[in-house]
Amino acid sequence: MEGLRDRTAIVGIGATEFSKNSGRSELQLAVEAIYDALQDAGLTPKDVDGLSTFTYDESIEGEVVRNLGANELTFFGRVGYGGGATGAVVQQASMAITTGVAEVVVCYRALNERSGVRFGLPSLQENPTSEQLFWSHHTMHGLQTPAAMMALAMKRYMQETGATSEDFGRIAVAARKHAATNPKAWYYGRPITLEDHQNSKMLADPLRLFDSCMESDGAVAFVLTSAERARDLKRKPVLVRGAAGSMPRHTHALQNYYRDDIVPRVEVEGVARQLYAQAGLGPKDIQVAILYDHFGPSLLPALEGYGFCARGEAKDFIKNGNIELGGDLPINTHGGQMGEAYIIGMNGINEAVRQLRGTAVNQVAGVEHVLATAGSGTPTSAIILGAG
Amino acid sequence: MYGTPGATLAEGTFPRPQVNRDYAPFYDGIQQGKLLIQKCNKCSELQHPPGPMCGHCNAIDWSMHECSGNGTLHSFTIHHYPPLAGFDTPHAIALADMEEGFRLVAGFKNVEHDAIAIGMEVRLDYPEVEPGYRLYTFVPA
Repeated sequence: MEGLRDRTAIVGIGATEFSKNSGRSELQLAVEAIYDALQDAGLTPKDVDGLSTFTYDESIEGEVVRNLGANELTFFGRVGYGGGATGAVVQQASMAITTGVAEVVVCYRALNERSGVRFGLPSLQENPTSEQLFWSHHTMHGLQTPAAMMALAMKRYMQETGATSEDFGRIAVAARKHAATNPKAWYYGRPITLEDHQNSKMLADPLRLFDSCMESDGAVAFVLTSAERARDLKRKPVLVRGAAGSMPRHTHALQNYYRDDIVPRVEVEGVARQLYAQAGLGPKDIQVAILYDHFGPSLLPALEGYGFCARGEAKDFIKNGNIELGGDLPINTHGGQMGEAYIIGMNGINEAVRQLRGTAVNQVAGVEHVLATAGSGTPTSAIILGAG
Repeated sequence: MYGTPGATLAEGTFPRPQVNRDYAPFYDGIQQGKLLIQKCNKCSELQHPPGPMCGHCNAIDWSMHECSGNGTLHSFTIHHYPPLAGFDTPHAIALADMEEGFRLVAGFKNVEHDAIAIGMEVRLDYPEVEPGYRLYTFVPA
């Protein structure tokens, strides 16, 4: 069951600034973030022999290699399903290193999501691929935005648990509170109140604007290598204690309408089962959680799926500042994707590394293990990182 | 997959679904005002959305089975923002448990949005929204 436990480590992290208009190409953002991560690790582009990213990333490996001045890659792989892939990108990098296919793998994601192609807009499908046949079966009815797709699932969750829009709001308030003290965050110095959340525009009932991640330009990268080699590098290694993914039957990108249980928790439970077994850890061993907040309300079923509380009890778990700094389980201490930036969860993994290095701006004391997840409501994945 | 703006549609044009040979019998049924769902000739399982192989017994041998269009609301949303080409917002979208045991997504018309509740009974309607083109939508039963 140990699988990938403690076989690889994150040895360098990098990022660009997070903005609404980067003023440069996505490829430039990618190579800037990758170079930053390599410098942090004390490595050079010549050391890189693997790249791991998302199918949706626009910066193709060959151009990354050409511009970085890297040499031969022996591993280059991509994972589908957008924000569900964040942990799986680390998983496949760790698999490549553990099997000896590659030695130094950089994971990256770069996007001009605000100034370029915006994911939150209505989208239609124009080619009869298996994916687009499925999507267009819903978009033809005006179910065309990620918020509306997720809204159906969260409406059902509310019905089953009694969770309210105010419960959703507490998650947004916590994110913006953490962002307010993070100078790298887009919403630095700009906290919100529960009233602000309740007054924010309705996107797709029950999801409001402040339930949604923001739109960002920026890039994030981090460097993985073997735990053995990590010991010789300049940073204190952050070990990958486990990395797992799950695609339960009838699970699609935000459209799980044909699954018995449409709540975005089934796939989370699939990841959690594997992840804790692999790491030899349980939810009580986690001091900080980085939970993927494409939509803040999805954190409620995610908290249940990852075992931090029982089904239906997340609305109580998050009360009284319990997920803020000083609470039992600080979540998204960088401000998450509703407060810092929306870089498809990759900025959350960098925050997990900082918490384990002891260098986060909103540092939690005594952090030994951090859970960092990908987006739920879609085939999903997660990792547990631990101090080396 | 994301990010193709709906606004590229002509004003008032309903977006058409993608159709291939797996989906065509279902959409052909809609144009006749019928809810035709794939039924496996080997194990009798109903399968929706359409697909080439029976996920229950792996046969590739289908008939189309006419279903009632009656169901109960499993969940719903009211889309408010942003505007959608071809739709007046806010507009309701429903996911229903159909009485024959499969799920179906469609718009939800002829209903006050405040009156929509999970568990309510719905039926399918097939309005001709443009000359020669029928959509299928839920309405209250």
